[in-house]
Amino acid sequence: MEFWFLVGVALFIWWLFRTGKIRRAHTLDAAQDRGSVRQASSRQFGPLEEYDNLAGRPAQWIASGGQVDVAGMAIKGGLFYFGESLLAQDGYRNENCLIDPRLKVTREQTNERSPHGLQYWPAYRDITPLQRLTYLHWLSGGRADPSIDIGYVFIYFYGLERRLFFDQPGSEADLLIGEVQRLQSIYGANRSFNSYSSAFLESAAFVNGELSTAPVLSHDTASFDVPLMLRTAIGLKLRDRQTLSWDWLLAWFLAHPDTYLRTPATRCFEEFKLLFERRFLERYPEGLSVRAPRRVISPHYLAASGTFTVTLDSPYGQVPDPKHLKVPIKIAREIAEAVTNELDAYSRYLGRNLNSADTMAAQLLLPRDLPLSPNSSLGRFRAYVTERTNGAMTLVPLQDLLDRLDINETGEKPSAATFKALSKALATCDFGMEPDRVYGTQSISRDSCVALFGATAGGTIDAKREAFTAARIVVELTALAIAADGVVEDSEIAFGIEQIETYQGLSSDERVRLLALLFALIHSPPQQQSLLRRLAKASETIRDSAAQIVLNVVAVDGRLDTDEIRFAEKLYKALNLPTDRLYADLHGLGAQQRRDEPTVVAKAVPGRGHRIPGPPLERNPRSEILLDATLVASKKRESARVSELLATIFVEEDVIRETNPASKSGVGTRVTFDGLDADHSTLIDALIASKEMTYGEFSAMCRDAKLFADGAIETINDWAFEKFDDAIIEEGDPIVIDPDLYGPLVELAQARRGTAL
Amino acid sequence: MSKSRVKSRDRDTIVQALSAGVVPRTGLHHIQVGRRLEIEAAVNDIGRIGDNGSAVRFIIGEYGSGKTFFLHLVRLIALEKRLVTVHADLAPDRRIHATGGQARNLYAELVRNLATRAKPDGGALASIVERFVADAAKEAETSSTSPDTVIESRLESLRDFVGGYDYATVLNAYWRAFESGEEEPKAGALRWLRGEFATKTDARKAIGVRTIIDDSSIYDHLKLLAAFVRLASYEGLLVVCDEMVNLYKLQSAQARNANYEQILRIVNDGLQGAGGGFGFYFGGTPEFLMDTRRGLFSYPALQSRLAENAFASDGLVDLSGPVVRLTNLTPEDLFVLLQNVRNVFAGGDPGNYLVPDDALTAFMQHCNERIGDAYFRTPRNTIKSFVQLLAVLEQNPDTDWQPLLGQVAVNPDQDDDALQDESDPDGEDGLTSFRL
Repeated sequence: MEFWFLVGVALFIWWLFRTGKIRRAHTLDAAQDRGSVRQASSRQFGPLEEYDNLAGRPAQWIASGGQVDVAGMAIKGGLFYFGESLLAQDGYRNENCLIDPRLKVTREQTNERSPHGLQYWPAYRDITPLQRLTYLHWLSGGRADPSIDIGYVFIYFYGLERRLFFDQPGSEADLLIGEVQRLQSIYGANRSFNSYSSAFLESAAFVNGELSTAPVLSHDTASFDVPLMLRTAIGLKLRDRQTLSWDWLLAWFLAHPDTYLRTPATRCFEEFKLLFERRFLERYPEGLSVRAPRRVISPHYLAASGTFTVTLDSPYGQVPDPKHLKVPIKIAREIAEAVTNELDAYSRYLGRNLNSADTMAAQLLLPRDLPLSPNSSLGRFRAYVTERTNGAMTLVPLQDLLDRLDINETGEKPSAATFKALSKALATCDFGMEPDRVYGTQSISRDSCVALFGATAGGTIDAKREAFTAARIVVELTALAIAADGVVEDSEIAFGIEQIETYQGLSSDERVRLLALLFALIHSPPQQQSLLRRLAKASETIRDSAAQIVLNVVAVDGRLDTDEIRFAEKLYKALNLPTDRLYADLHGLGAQQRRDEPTVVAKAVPGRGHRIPGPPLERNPRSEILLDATLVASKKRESARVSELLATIFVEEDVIRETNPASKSGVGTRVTFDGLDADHSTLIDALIASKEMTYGEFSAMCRDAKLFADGAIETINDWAFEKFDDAIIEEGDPIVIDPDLYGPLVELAQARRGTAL
Repeated sequence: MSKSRVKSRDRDTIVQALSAGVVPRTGLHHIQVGRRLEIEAAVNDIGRIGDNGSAVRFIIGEYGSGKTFFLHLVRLIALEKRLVTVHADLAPDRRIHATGGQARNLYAELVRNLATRAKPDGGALASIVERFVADAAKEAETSSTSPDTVIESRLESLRDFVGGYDYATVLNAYWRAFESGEEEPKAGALRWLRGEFATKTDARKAIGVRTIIDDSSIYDHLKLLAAFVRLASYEGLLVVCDEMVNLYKLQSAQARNANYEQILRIVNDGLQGAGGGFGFYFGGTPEFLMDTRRGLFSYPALQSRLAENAFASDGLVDLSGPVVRLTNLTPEDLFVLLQNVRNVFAGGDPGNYLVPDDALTAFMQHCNERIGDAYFRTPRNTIKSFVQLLAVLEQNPDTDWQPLLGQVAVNPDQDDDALQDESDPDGEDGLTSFRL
């Protein structure tokens, strides 16, 4: 501070020295303007002449509405000092603003303006007569010509500030403040004037105790010092041990002389403020607490004219001065820096594309947690998606979404950038979609559908996590298998869902994402080839489960279509599994469904991660055999029923059926066996009698009876099955009767004779 | 399980067959485990065939799942229901359709194995023909007409079939040869019926018929055979073809498709109930059915007929479709099976059981340690060893089963299929090939 003060003093001295020279130069200019060299030479100024001029009639303040004549011109409106002497605070010179009627003014009735600008600290007494004429014209002409050199406005302003702060007129204050505000509204574009007039107004407000409750946030407030009012407001908070809220800190930071905002912050100031607030609150939800420094504010008004400095009366008492505190500014700078970085992409986009602030593409570059205005294009997008999904997972054509994103890209498949933009847009609206390239799925064509689902921040997941990638391959495969036969059945979908829900080691976000993927893929199946290629590279566990799952899906609808099997064949080939195993596995599935056991579907899933059971019913080969008692019992029951069934077929007749004496067999005179004709009965009798005979004898007998030997044996044995449940003639040469049946046969023969007699 | 008495004859047959590792000829109902629904379906099929209907089934199961056992059981049921059965395993030189005599080979093999209840082991063709002719002769005698006329009139219905005329001619020739006592034409007629003539010339020379049963006509002739056995007062004909996977292994797509086309004809006739009193049972592996490049599913018309209800949903069984899926046995199945075998050994009397239940699980455990889960998935050798164990215990009543158990040797069962097809590198058990 001291340093600056010394620099200021040095500058001031230098200026004093310099004004002397310039004044001379100006006088020469003026002489040339006027063509009056004599006059100019007679007014060779030196310090002495200034002292001379200090004497004179004291100047008076022309109040508002007052009128004076200067060089024959009537100047109306007042609000300036008029007279010959108005000493500055230092007493060595007159005020810059003083309109001294003794000074020359160009007489011509001309509207001509001096082509020469005024110097930085102008004074009425130092300007040329033509410039004085210009000034007087301006004064009498409403004091609002925006094209006037700012130096004239300053001369006028010097008067106002002297009046308010140095003379302290009391009643006139509001009028003066109003006039300065008016000037600021016209000439505020001039940085210098803006700065001085603001200082004026601020000091006036300070004195009046008009502390604002909310800080003014502007990126244009950089100055040499933190404005008094701001310091006071902050200081008061510190004195009252209040924490600093984000806006006060930001205002302080913005007004700090060391602050330099980068382009993103200034270009996107609104977003900068919003984001600054968020980030500040994240770090300091309760506000920033700062200890009040011991140094207090000493309020001064430094005149713009440089002719006086006054201490302002503080209506607040002793206020700690935050001016030298470094930590809060450092914190603010950190936050601002981070926020600026966050806005960088957005700002660059705006820089490249003019007037693009409301486009989706630009808004997507904004940090996600900026609140979304419903009227922005992103807000409209959110409304569309919300309405479309209506709280449920919904399939939406990709093209519909792209249309609403203002992304005009041609080509069958949207680019990665487009996907990223879409994914981000959805995430910003708290939605997710699948398939989503951002999460590792393949690119899809624009006419296929994506599944939308509600998820906070788009359900961000780590797509590279092994459990997830494994599960995703499984889901893709499931979808492929479901779609393999061209018919999607509810049972298949239910199976797919169950797969996902029971898959171990997934977060809920991952699960939702996979469900969405399943729905989308069922609708638009992925490319078989690419999936199979990826699968071939997958780990063994994944490949094993893949095979099993596909089989289950193929089987779950209870039908085996060629297309399904063909798909399974391809899969096994891709997995490098023997296709023989496929058929065995398929067969196992098909046959297993008949058991009164839980289906394989259920078995594949329960709680052990995704360990897939091997071929059906495979057990640990060397383990202890554990028989399922209930299964054994049910097997035995079933076997018993089978046995009964078979027993009725393979009749075991231990007791020879009672022969029926009144049977139809009694044809002719010969007595026959029941169910056998006479010729064959004779043959049996002959066999019984001889016990055994050669094939030749037998066939001779047959021929006599017009029978064939083999045919006769067939007929007799066929009959014997009815009677004895077995053949009685044992083939070969010689022909014999089965010794086991000989006895019963003889009994039967005797019984027959008995009945015949 | 009905613990009814087991006849000693049945008992011996079963024990003998099991210890040889083959399906017993009789008494299957004593050892059958489960598969009630499948068996009921088969019984219904056979009933339908007996009612002059038709049936077609594909028995699909992996190696060791008991396809052959099941087919055998069905065949025995059919015989018991007075059907005539023919059966054959398909092989590279035995197919349903071919141009190089392979189809005729299949036909010949089928007819060679033609069985009746009285002749369950095959070779019953002559018996049936003689029975038919003898019946006709007898009828001729009673009605005082010539046997020729009776045979002609009886065979009248056969003439409606493709090739029926020649069929009747051959049967007539047989009768005439019988009457005249000439053996040669008789043998010729039987050879013709068995499809053993390779050329038409030979057939003409032998029995004066201008056609023969050749590759292109075997299905028609099976139909004729079905009609004929009904004329010979049997209920119908059941054709059992096992090892259908041999069609799947055909390299030429054209050849495969020609075979599948024939199967489609059979399936269509069978499913449409075209009638004729005959049925087809095919046995094959899952890939034979489902492989979309070479299996039945590669033939779209078959796929659409066989895929529906391939397995019913919700765990319900639907055997109305032609595909019956057999699963491999589970340890529980095997346990019940061992109990049944024990029961057969004891003649159905629980008092005679040679070993307690504990021994059964101990035995399973033992096998498990030796050959892993193959002990129940492909149980042939397990059963074989078990029967041998019981036999030893039976002959040495004082022996304790426990120490014996450790000595029982169990070898992994081997896939016959893999043995036949040595070019197949994915054979189930590579070690087997080395041993060969």
